[in-house]
Amino acid sequence: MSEEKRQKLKISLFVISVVVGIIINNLLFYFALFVLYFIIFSKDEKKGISYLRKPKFLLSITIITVLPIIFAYGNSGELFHTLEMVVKVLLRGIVLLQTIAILVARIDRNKIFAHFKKVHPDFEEVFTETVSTMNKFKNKMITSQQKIEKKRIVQLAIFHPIEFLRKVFYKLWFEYNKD
Amino acid sequence: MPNWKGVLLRATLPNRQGLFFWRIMDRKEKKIFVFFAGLWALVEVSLGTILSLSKVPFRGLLMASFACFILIAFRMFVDKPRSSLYLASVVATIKLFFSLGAGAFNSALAIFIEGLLAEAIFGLAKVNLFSSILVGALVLLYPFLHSLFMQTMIFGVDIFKIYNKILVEFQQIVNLQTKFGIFEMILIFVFIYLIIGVVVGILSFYFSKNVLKKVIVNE
Repeated sequence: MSEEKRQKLKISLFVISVVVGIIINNLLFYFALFVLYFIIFSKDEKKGISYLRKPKFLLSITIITVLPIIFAYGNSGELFHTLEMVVKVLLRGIVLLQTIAILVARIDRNKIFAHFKKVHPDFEEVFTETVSTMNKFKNKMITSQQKIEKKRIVQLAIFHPIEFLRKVFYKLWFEYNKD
Repeated sequence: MPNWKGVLLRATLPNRQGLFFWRIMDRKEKKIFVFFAGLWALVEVSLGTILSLSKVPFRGLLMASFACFILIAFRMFVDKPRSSLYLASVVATIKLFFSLGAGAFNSALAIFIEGLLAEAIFGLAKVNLFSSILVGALVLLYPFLHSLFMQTMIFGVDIFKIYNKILVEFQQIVNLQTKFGIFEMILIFVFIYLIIGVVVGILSFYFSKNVLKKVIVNE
């Protein structure tokens, strides 16, 4: 194979690996959107999240994230060195992500509250109020999304950003003070 | 024999709230606290989770800019010791409970440390333009250092060799003859993050002072 062809092949492999990486990442992105829509803010939040904390899921994320990097590295032709690197990186990734997953799965809400209560006596009350405020803002955003004219809002945000932000904060503050 | 421990405790009791002499907020301040905490938590839980799962580059920059704005704006209204750290603690706990997977642990840690940085600066210097610039620079620089640290933790120092290889390969593809290695690139990014942080700090300070104060104080 001539040097020119080799160079072309190398470039196309690099571009393909980047594109594949982006597509896989985007699939993950839409999956996350889908999950967010159904799980976040729902009453029984633990039911859906428990699967995502499993090491198998975390391992798949590790592989998907490292894959484009590995492809790009593999183009250099140093196959043995690349393989060694991949094994090292993945092993470290698996061990550490599993440790984090176990730590996250064992987080006890009551223990955290008890710890913060020593420093801030009103922590639990503030926490509950903040969660309800967050839900209130979320509901407001969902209901106002159907009413607003998107074109006008985008124009306002681009040409008069300060005025736009002032309006947003005014509406949020008004919504917050309603009850 | 007098109970010295009890005497000492009683002597400090009028000012004592909680373990570390936390001065509790009044009703109006708590109201503002919950407003900012709710807003920050909403953005972290919705947009933050989407961004962290989608692996979009520079996602830390976007989230830290918002965190920086909230920290500066909140301190403008409630300037009490440790209030920024309290705000960050509440948001970090919400992020930990309501977010997905191991990413939540990482982000919650980042939020808490951002609050700690803001608290350290606002605790030393009151809220002014200089301290806001400093908070902006440090809070925006933090996610970059956090990601470097976490990547080194997870993948080892080898990750920098891989990045260097990609960089060299990219330079070959676009026919660029530069001698920038990965460490020069890191320094350039640190500089860029610092500049953006300063700009965000200035904008947040003036926006909170001139616009937000009119909305929240003159309700």
